[in-house]
Amino acid sequence: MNELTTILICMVSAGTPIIYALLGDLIGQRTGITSLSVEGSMLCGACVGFAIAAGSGSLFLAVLCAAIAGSLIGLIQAFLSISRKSNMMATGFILIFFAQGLTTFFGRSQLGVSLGKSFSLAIPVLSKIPVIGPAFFQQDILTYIAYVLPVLAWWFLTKTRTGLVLCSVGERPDVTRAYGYNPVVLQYGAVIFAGVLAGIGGAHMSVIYAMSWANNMINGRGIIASSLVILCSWKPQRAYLAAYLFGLAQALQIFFQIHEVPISMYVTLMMPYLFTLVALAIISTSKKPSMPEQLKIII
Amino acid sequence: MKKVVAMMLVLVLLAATLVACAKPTASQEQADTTQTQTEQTGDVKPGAGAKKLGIILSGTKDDYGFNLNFVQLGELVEKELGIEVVIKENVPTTSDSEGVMEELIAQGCTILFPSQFGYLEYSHNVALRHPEVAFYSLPITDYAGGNFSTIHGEVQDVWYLNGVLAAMYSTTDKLGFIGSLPIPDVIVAIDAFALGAQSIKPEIDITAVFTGSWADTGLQTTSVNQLIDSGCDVIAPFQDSIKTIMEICRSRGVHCFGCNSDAYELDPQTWLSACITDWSGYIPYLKQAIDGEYEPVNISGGMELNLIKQATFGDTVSEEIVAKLNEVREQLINKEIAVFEGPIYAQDGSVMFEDGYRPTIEEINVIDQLVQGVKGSLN
Amino acid sequence: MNKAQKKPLQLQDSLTVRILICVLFPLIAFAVLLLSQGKSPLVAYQTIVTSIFGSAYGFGEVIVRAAYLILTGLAASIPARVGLANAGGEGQMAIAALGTAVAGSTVLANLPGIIGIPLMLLVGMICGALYAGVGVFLKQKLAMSEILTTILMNYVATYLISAMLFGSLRDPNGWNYPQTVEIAPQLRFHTYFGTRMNAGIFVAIAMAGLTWYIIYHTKVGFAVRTIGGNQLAARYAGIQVKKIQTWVFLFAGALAGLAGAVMVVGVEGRMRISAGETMGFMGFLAAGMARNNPLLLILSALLIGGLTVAGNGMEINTGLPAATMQILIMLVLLTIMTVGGRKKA
Repeated sequence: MNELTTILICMVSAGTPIIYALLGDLIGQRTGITSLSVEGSMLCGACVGFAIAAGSGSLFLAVLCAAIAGSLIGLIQAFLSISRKSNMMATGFILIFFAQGLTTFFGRSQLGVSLGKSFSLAIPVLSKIPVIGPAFFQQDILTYIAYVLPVLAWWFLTKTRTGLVLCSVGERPDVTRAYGYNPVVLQYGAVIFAGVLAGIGGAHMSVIYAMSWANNMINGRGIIASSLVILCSWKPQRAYLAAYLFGLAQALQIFFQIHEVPISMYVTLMMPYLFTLVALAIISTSKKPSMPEQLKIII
Repeated sequence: MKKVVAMMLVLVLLAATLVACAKPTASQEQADTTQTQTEQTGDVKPGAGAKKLGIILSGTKDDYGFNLNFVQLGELVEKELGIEVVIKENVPTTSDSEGVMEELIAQGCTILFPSQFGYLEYSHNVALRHPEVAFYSLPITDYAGGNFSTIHGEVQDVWYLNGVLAAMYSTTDKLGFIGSLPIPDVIVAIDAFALGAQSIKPEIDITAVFTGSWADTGLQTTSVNQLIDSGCDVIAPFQDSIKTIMEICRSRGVHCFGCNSDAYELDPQTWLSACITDWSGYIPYLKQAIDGEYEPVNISGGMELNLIKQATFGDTVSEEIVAKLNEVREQLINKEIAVFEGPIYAQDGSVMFEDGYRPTIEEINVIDQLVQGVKGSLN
Repeated sequence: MNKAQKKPLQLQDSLTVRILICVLFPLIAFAVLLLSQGKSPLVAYQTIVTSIFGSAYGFGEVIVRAAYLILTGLAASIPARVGLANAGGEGQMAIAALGTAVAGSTVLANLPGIIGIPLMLLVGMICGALYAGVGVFLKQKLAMSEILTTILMNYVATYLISAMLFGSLRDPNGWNYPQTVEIAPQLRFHTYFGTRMNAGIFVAIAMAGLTWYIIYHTKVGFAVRTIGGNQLAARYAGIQVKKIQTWVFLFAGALAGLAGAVMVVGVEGRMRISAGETMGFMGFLAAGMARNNPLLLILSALLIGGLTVAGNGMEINTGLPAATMQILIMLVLLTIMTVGGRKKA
């Protein structure tokens, strides 16, 4: 197989879970709430999604349950950071460790289970295009949704009334209230939705990408996704750049080793983080990031 | 004022419950200490009459890899020796492990089995403080003595056999190796695997990649997919958890080895074999300790001492391959051949071992180069 | 907050009720889990007491952990006072531990302990401050978010340390395993009562006290609090916001570095791959629970340390997997977050 295709396939599959978690947390952060706990939501989504997919064979059911599992973690995060005004980052870390414990304990029965089938779904004509066809259009339904999700989120946040109100919560909650909306309800909605999307991202990771459940399989990808929101400057359309850049770097980690590129293995393993640092430097110097006002106050 | 009173009350309440809870166990502990005292006065050997054996793991029990292997030891000990086995998971390979070992001893374990090199120094410290507890540590070192034994199963022979199997099995003549970090066991495994494969097909292609961690599912998936894309049809992982690797191999229709534990039942079709510890070689030593005849040992050996073996063969491994493997195994056990026998050249063409020279186990353990013919780098 | 919520809040405002909830809820919830697994909660909960208070050793373990957590917690909480976030305690601690271990086995190896140990701690602080310095430099010069850079630099630190430990800094007599040469014996802290307890806890508490004093009783502290209150107002008041932010961030890095140094000087004696893992994140968590108050931080660090040790004991006693103990510990912390989380607003 063509090497370029290999890299692109790995890039897309590694980037997809990140896109989901990133967009979820981005919407949450636009209302002024950071949820590092998307890592926990991803873990729960991965564990529950895999169990349901293996048990029922239905991807739809698996994604649905993963979303619910993820939203529960989001709900706790929302309750603690909105209603109890606790430290968001600390709450996020607690929920990550909590989710690790829960999924490791209840996921034990799933460790040896096989899915027995693949959920990939090639798009008829497009997948025949040389090089990029197999990479982008021989994936699965969750990946295809991830292609349009940033655009949808952009449209939602900038063109719809609900989206604009949602953003106003993160900037001037008193204004939101003056227009007759309850900022607390909107924040709850956004943070729980972050959990939903992260849960789906987790399900992609276990059901489609790795095709198995392993303890702590998210391994920091949620934390990265949550911090990549900063790289996106809180703009959903930049999620493509952030997530696929990270995915590309992950693909290159192994690619460089296989093809004996004379770079130290530790540097190749560092690449996702170095790439992100460089991208952040470029973005930061070119434009001032538009951080929601409420986030500034809290941080 | 009210708050202060309330707080005091709560504290008193807490203290009372704590004392109430602590009492029975405290007396129990007293009984334990008197027992150990009598033992010591009678000059009883370490581990004598042990009721509990403690195993210290760095990961979680059910990973179908390194840690599951020790769970199988636990099952064997319970069956053969009839003593209780306590397994403590997720112990960091730092001095924090000392605290865990102390707790295991406090709860009545008198034989301890630290599973990692990282525990070596700390378990030795604990051993000095607790002469009544018998220790069995893994890697070969000069720590042995007193109540501290080291038993090391040498991995090279079985990984050589795995290499033979892989080379005979592969149709594309490309093998992939997924390492974690370049620690001695992993380097020796890659080299032995490569030498085994080259003994069948001298020109065979072996690619080694490192993931930098012991169980990152995402990197495992990426590695397997890319290795298969580059033409490999046999994958050999040196990772803690191999489930994901097997699933990807199954879905892509290639075959893979396991690592450190026999996971044949996961998928007999995809499974080839693995290098696993042969616990039957350890049981006599443990039995000796329980019977009160503990002698510190410092053993390093392979299949000839029943310390290590090749796991169950997968269903797709043909009779012909098994016959060949049996033949090579005999030769290895009889020392007719050796895995590392000069001339062996490193990747850059320099001589690692001179013609006809068979390195000692100490020399093998400090190999820090890959052999010629392996694609990949340790740096 | 609307009116309907007011009444239950009054009930929770009583300290007694709060503490009772914090103690009872997690224990009852976990008892259900234990019973479902066929284990007796009473036996398990006895182990909490015996593993911490049953022996000097267990108690020492709590203290050892608390020392790191206080220091990394301070490293997370001080920058928060000037409107920055340091999520890089993990990386700073690890890099400093490596630096200290190298210094202790090379340049400082021949010094007597009385001079050598303070120098070791200083080396750790400098390493931590330098590594944090990268983050704050990028923030002040390139306007790069310090949260993202410090999080990313945690991962970079992991691989940097791997590269060093597998490469040039590997102990030549260490059977080829990734660890540095052991530091000179006179450079180690004495341990007390045959446990791993050492002077690290005094260093940590002293630092917590010092930080508390500086923040609440000095001019610099006043400036810090002003910046934390309102940056714009601070600027109008003639406070050099950027300069103070930078120094505060470097100080935070130094404290995380001190945690690494204390770890090496106190118990480890050398640097290994996984030494001090998750202590940075846990410190962050402890700081958040203590609402960035240096003195409360001592309590939350002791609590987390105690829970970890008790968890180990219970895991051994009940034979349940380690994950269950993680569930219990996080249940306790979540309950405390829920019940204790109403002061700020």
